[in-house]
Amino acid sequence: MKVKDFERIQERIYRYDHPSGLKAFVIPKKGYNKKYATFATYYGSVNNTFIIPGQKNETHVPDGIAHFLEHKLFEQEDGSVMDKFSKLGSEPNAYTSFTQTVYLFSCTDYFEENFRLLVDYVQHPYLTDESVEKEKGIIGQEIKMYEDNADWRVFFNLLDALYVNHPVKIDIAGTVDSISKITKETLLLCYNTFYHPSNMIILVVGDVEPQSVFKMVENGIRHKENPGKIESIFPDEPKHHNKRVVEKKLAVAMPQFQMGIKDNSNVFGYDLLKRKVAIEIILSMLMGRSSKLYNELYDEGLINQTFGSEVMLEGLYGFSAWGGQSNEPIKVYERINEMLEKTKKDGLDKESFARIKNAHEGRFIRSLNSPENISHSFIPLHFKGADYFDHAKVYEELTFSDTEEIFYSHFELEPALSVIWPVK
Amino acid sequence: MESVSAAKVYEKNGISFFHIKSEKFKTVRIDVFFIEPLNKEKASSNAIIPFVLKRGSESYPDQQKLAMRLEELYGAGLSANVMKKGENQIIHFNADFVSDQYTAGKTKLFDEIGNLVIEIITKPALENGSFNSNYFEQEKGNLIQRIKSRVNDKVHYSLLRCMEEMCKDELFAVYEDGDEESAKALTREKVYEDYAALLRESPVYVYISGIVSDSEIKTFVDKFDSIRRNNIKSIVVPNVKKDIPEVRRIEEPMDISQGKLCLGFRTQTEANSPDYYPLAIYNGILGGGVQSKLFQNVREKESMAYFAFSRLEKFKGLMVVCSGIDISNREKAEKVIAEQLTAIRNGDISDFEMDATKKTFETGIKSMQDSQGAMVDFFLSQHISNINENIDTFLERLLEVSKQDVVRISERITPDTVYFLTSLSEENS
Repeated sequence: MKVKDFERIQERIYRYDHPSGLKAFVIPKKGYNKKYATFATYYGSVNNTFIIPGQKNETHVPDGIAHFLEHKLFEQEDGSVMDKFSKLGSEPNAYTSFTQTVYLFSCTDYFEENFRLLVDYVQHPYLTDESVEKEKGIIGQEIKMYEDNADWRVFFNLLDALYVNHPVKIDIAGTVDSISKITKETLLLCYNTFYHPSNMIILVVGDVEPQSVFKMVENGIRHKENPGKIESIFPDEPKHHNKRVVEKKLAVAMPQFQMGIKDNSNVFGYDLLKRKVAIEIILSMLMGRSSKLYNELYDEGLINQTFGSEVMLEGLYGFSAWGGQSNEPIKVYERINEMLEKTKKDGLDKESFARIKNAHEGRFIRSLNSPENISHSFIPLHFKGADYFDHAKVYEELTFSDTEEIFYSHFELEPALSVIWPVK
Repeated sequence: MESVSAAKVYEKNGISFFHIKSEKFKTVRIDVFFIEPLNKEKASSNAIIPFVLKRGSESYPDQQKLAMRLEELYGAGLSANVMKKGENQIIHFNADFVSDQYTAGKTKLFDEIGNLVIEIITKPALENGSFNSNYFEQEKGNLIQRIKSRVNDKVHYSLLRCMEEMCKDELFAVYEDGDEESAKALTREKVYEDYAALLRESPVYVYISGIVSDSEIKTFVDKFDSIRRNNIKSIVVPNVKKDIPEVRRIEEPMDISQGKLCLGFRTQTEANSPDYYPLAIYNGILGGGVQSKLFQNVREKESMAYFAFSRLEKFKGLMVVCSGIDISNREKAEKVIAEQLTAIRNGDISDFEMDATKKTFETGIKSMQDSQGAMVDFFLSQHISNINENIDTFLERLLEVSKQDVVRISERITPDTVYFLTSLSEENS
């Protein structure tokens, strides 16, 4: 068991490496009632082509299969595992993102029973042809719900504008058509490939005893032979964007837009975290609440409070995106591009850098109140070799000149634009 | 283990101050709530006020200067919004910032931010004795857009529309941000008058959460003396009892691919009634989580939906069941939902359903104490409906509910309105 302290933010991480290759972490939250446990695999919607360890040929699976598998894992031979969690009063859940699938529960009592249940069911898929068919109805409705969701559509259309080939542009749940091709056999194939303990982590956030958690991990993880490297295949992605603009109509009151830019840096580890934080700070400097442009656009009625930005760096791909509602998204697009061009000439505003960096650190500290937030942020960074709590170190070390350098390398391309126009 | 409480520290001029002491958080929060009776004529006017106030104050006359100030204060969050609980419209100001232990002793954040909150509320940037006209006109435009944008989130929209139709002859039908027509008719002078009345006459609840000393609180509380207060209004207790001779059916076509079916019911139960606890358990068994009858049957058994839940509007005594379904499944879904209500009425409640529902509440209520925001919302709800239960006794009341209590409550659940958000034509589905 290893212990790492992060004094600045008064947090501590305990770590245990299981012989199978699985890594387990405990982040104690003294005085919290809630215990939040996650069991995650580094496998998400983008892993649709891979080489099964020991084989030579590529395997390609239907879109949406990682998410489908997430749904089906809840089913066990003796019924739904959700019922067992419910009996213990805990709230089970799971989610699939581009690069990981996460199983979790949140409880206040019976932590050990809940935890054993989580560790056990994720390791025991129980699939039948009948139950796979039945799930297609439920997931079909989930897909339809997202079809009507403008926030979701505007985001995925942006990814379509950014990426020519990369599977990140494919909807996480797939389509009604693609999931119709999913079978018990393909699900098991994916499970056996990606749910090896060496590709997985366990994280518990809450007022728990690390030793006893790790003891349960030690006894609960079944030993499996290490299959060797799991290789996902990604198509070559050109450096440029796929399309300049993607437009669609939906039943919304006001146009919604997202702009974005692809990040071609392919960095991992601490460098990835540093780059992500730097781009977040840059976006605040350029178009955050205290920026000149945000306030001009707001005063002219071109944007409103829904305007916001995010940065996603996933190692092999990455992007930043920003947007909201606007009656004139094309005008906003042009104004932001003008500002970016001007900033490339003049450089970033040094005076605002320290203030905004300080504000970002404060917001980071505020976010540490929430076990959910810690878990959701910790897991994807861990899989990319970075430590979530190293945010504090980045805020301490990041200089203006680092940030300016990252600005020039990230904002090379002209941003792409996705717009949802109201019908009628 | 003893639960967290909201200790009333001061009460003067219709302003109640509470301190929610809990040392485990990294943040301090200030929440200020103005409680107004919901009113069709004034709803939009009240709704625009916090957004105009957030545009600028005497010392920070525009939102860029205010944003810079918040950045200097370690990225403090300052938000304003409007919500509705029963037939009360609530204007809410919130500040959320890091505890002093993370500021390297450089500054006393509570004092600084407390002053800022009071300034934002009481000293707006003025122009000829009223609000700044640019800010007013811009926020009026934003308010109108916000009202129109209700339609964007189809699940939320269908829930709101169902309740609006149910209560079309009651105050509750008024939205927290009013309606488009009255928003368009707002004038700067009238809103400024309403703002002055809000400051003067609304009951106010203030919550301070986190590590703050008694003397810091005292200093903060005293600053509210600068607000001139009189004719304090009382908080509305809505009527929840209603006979429904016939179920109404409303269909609303829209350019969408998934239908949203909402069934609205009257619970005939007041928020502060002892019967609220069996009602909450009833709602949990019916549609409050993965163990519920709706989830188990509409989703798991019939594979008809991704989500199916029921939700209470505690203060107005409403319950709405909602599910996203294929347009063609409407009748079948209604039938399956009705079967679940009948099952509870017939006492068909398993020990598992009863226990799991209670344990889910227990987990929820204990977990709530790990979020300052969730606790503030809980205590505000208790305080405005005059309920004296603290967190522990609130939970006890839920845990002592029996199956018989649930069946007894089920008998008064009255179907009111069936609302269906459907596609433009049957062929689309």
